[in-house]
Amino acid sequence: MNMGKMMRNKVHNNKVQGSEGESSINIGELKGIPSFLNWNLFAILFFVVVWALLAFYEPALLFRVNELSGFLFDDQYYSEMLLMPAGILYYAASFLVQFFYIPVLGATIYVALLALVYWLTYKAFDILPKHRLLAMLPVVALLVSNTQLGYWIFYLKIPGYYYVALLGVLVSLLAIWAVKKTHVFIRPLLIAAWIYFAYPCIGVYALVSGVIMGVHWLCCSIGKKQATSWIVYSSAVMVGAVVLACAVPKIYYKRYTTVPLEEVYTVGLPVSQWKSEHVPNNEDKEKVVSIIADVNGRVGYPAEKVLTKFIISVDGSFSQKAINTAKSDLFASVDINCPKDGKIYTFVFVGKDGGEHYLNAAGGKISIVAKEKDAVIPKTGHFVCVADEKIKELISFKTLDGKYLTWNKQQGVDGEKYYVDLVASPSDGNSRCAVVKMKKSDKVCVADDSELFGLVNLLILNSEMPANAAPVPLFVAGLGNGGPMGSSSAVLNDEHTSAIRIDEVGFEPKPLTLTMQDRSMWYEVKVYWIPFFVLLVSFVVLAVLPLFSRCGYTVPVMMQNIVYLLVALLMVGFTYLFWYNNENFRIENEQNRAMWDEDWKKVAELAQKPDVPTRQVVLNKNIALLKLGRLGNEMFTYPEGSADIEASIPVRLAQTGGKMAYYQYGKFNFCYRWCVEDAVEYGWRFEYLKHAVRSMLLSGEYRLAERYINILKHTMFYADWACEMEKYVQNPELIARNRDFAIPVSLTCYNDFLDVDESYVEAYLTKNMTNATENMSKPYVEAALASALTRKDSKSFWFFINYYVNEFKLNSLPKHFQEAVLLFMNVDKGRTVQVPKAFLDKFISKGTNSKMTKFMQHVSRHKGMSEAEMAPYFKDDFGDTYFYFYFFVRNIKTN
Amino acid sequence: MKGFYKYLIITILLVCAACSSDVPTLPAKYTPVAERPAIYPDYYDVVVPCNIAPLTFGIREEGDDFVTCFKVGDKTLLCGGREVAPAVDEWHSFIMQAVGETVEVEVYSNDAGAWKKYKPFTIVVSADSIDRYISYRLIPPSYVAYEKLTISQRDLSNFDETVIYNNKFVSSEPDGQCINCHAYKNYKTDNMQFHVRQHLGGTVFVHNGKAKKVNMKTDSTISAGVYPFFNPKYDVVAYSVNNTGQIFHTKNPNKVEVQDQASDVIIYDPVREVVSHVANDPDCLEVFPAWSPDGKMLYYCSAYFPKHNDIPHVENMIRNYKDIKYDVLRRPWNPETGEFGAVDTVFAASSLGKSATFPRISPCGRYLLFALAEYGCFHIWHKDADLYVMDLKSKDYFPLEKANSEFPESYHSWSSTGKWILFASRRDDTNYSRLYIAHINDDGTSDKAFLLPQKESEYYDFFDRSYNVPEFMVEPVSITPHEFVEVVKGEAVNVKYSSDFK
Repeated sequence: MNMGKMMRNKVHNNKVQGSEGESSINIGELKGIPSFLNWNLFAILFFVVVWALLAFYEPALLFRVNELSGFLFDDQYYSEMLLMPAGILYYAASFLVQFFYIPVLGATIYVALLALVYWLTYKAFDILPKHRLLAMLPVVALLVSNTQLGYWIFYLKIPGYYYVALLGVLVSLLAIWAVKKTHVFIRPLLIAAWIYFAYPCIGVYALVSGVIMGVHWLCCSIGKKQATSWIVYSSAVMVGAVVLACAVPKIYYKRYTTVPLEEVYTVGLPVSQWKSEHVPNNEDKEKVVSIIADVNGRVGYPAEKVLTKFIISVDGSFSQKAINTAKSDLFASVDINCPKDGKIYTFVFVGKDGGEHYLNAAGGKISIVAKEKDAVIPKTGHFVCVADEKIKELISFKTLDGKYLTWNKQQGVDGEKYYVDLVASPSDGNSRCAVVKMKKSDKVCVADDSELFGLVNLLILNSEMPANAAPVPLFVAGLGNGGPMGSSSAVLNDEHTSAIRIDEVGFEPKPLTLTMQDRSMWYEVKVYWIPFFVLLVSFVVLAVLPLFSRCGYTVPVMMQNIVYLLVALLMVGFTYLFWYNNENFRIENEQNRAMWDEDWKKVAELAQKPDVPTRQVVLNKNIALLKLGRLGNEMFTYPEGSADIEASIPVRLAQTGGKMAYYQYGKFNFCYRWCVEDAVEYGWRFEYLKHAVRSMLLSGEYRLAERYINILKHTMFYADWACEMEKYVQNPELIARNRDFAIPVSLTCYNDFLDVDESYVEAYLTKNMTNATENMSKPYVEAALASALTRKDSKSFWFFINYYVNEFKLNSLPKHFQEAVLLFMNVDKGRTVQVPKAFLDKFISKGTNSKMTKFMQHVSRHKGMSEAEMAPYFKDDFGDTYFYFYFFVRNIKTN
Repeated sequence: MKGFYKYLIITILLVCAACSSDVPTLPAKYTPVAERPAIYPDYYDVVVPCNIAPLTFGIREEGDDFVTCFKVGDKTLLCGGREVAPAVDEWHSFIMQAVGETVEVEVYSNDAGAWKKYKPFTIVVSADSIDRYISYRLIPPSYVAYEKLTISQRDLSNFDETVIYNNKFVSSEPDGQCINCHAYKNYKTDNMQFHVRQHLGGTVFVHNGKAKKVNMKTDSTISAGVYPFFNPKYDVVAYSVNNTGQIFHTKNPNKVEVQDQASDVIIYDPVREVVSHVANDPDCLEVFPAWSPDGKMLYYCSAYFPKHNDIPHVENMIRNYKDIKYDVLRRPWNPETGEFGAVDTVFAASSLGKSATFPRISPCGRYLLFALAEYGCFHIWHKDADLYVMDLKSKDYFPLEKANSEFPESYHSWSSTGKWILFASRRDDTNYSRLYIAHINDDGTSDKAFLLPQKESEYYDFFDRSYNVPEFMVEPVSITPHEFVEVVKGEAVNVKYSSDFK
């Protein structure tokens, strides 16, 4: 009778004899509760809590996970799945994900299957009751492999991801259990058959479980102290399992044309998802650093922390695709090196032939002089930066003897031309400049390098406020394909110039340091592998557990209880730590659900919740207010800003809520385009299909809409919706009668033209609204006005407000539009816009006037403070006005 | 044991029952209907080759049961059910008896016990057979993104489709690979090529049965070779070299404009590994080379669009995209000296306010087949694009009215006999391009085009990829996808540029 058997007998008697000889109660075995709860209490509680959290705290997430999935009851869909190894696993997983459409149902099925994993785990490995907590390890690992995802749900490429690992483990456990029940002589054949036949069905899970079968059998043999011959036999089976696990994928590689050789061993795992290391290796890092190192600190180029982020966001392989993506993200940054007040700069024009010319102000005259190689530019080529006291983007340059550079405008037969001149005062002419981030679509002369993009414009302005002037690009500096370079602007029209630099005199590029600061664990891609690692380790531990029954050591009951509690706490802690819990993410998903339900009040209410919303939340809120007719009165009464998105990948509106935004703003082609593009990357998801139906329906492409309707009719939960949409295909005249279609259709009052959004949805929408100039609907004009206010674009605002009041014969203006009128008047000071008193009397209420007056009084009381210092003092009284937004909500970064 | 045998017998009986097929019979009584039945695909009055796969179609009428009868003379082929899917062998047996004849197709439907017979339609079985194989690229109709791309081949006599190459072999998340532009010499596969782009990029070139990877980019050319055309007689290949961009319509259903911001035509010698320019006028966009059947004339398209001093070229092209119109030109080629002769304008589409692309000469050398639309070069995205034929002797040109539709047609190719053409069309749902086959008569006109048949009539309803650049072949590609992968992963041969090709 061996020690293990003795121990089991003792446990069975419901008491454990401690080493001191006294009786002790084991924590997993409490008196007075039903026997099935013994040792399972923790697990049951865990499942109940998880179910409740999923069903009632994360229903919007579950619904979204389903929307971002796809499944068709169609032979072709099934056949397509089978083209991949583990295709059956993906198929079954995709089928189950559908049930998240009803979150309570989906959560129930999900948790029930997790419970099944728990039960099968302790059955398959014959886990003693006192060790049963270990059966929770794979459960916890499976759960957090999903709950950790956050924004990754938009970028998952494995079909049915949420259930893939769970089903793979479940089937594997069944196999382990079944094989264990068979006779030892046929067991090797079964293990071999399992690995060979299950691999195409469940991929890596078949390989690992096959090896686990062999390992477990060997450990059981050793643990049970079986004869040496049995141990040798089981060792041989284990070795055979390992060999087969190595060989079978390579055999199948020849039969599939859909998997690279490097991935045959990991089919079923999200390897391609999280393949790259987040932090580059040294060699790659040096390669990228060397490309951009000499711009570090140079005017117009990204600030160091942005460069650092650029390097970080270019993944380990530094492929062109990755660099392009990172460059787009870099381009989105507004943090650029500006000229600094008091420092001295030169202006150097770099020619296509590499020769350099510099701007020179000798004898009170401006000229462009060829720079001899390695020659130092004389003092007449030096200009001192004079930054504006109040507005940091606003700068001037003056010569060493105090004359200011200005760029004057001359009207010629060929149109406007600009020339450089010297004036006595910065307010003479157009000498004030602003450093502003350039848009990719801005004009550049040299187009040799199609990868070139600019980072900064030095704009010529004729007022103090950057947004108020007609921007004219003077020059750009950029990051080109072959390295740091720039290009000239059309303004200078110098076909020989390919770059203009503002160099600080004595400039030395700073060494680029890579410091990872203020980054949460979620930025590390490799973190996402932890649950899978825990899953693997847990099965290895369970497989070798029988070995420990051999040692005969008995743990005191107290120690067992402590260990039990610790392990339970660790599991709870692990689950908590890996549960992505971000308020904005939750709100975005809830808003998305409400938008599909056309519950616009809810969409707006949700936007009240965050302190600082993401741009998605703001965009959704504005759509809701437009639909409710409250945009002009309320858009700035909600929290504003651009919260950072906690994710290890660049998250774009195009993937999260951009399609909905394009649809609601009447940009049906762009909505459809992103449906197709993302369908290519991630597969046709239910969400994309629905967007495709609506956008093509409202753009009159009924046959195309019908195609997607037909597909949705073969789904479990969207068939009814598809049939509803089909009515409009068959009777297009019904579209005009549908209230939900009214706003998107009304926003289509623009002409067709060719355009790109550079993958920046919000930036495109707000800019693009100004393209229509006539025959605009009232909602369109309201949306255009809102865009102008968001962009602080007074020129567009005046155009549209004029159209708004005259075209629609209004008697009043919404609150924020009134505020904007007063604010822009105050900023403009009558220089470019004359607002008639009659207009003010009719449209500006006493309340708004009074508010403006109070605001200005408040400003003068806080004179001398920067905007950041002033903001808290204005928040309470003016936080719901456009005044506050205009002056204190800055550096909005859209994605 | 008793129970075991009982269940075994039941199982056997069930299997037998399943195997026994219901043989459909024609109803004795029915009411004739004046209209033809609604079917998909549309196979009314088409002309098909005698060796084509079964024309599976679905009946889209109300009814509980259906019987379809294919009839020629006293020979019939019956199919039951809404899905009319004759077995391959049965179909071939039947259709070989109908060569040169007109098959009448009668459809009967049963609605609550009452049968009705629709007005029959016809299928003409041409005596002209068709090349047995075709190949095409399968690609989602996206614009920028790509993921799973295959070049596949299909046996036209049945439904077998196999993969020639799949980009998923080497494509991964950070390192994507695009594949395109498969082409064959003389419809055979011992000389063929396709491009792989981005990751492990190059041209996979099979020369006399041996595959190699070629890097065709040189400092003197805009890009590596793009659109290829093998010389049918001589060991040279013509390519375009292109710098391509695209931009999107905000409202137009055409959705996207693809433009060559720069393009030239080059010639490649796969033995000497040399490329040279054929056409590289800086003020013109030259593209889509195609050889004549005797290999001594090179056709291509050219659009005159000079650079503007004040406006960046790309911006100018975008602003004036409707002014970019291509003509069809040709230059004679001397295979002895390698020299090209003077340019001759074959079809001045621009003078008609149109743009002609993708010239293809019939194997007999008499006809030029091209796509014509209002502007531009990427006609598969232009709704008004149609197929036209020009008689090179008389210079008359006309649309292939029976093959065209109100939606784009392009990417056409001739069969080796010149009796059939294969092209891509977006007519089914306006977005996904499907392959159509049309018979060409001796006078260059076409019969009605028919959709490439599939095993199930609803196949295209759910298939989420477009068919791109279909080509006829007389034999399948024998190099396996895995062998191509090894070539792709291998080193590339760098070509040299020579200004003098001889």
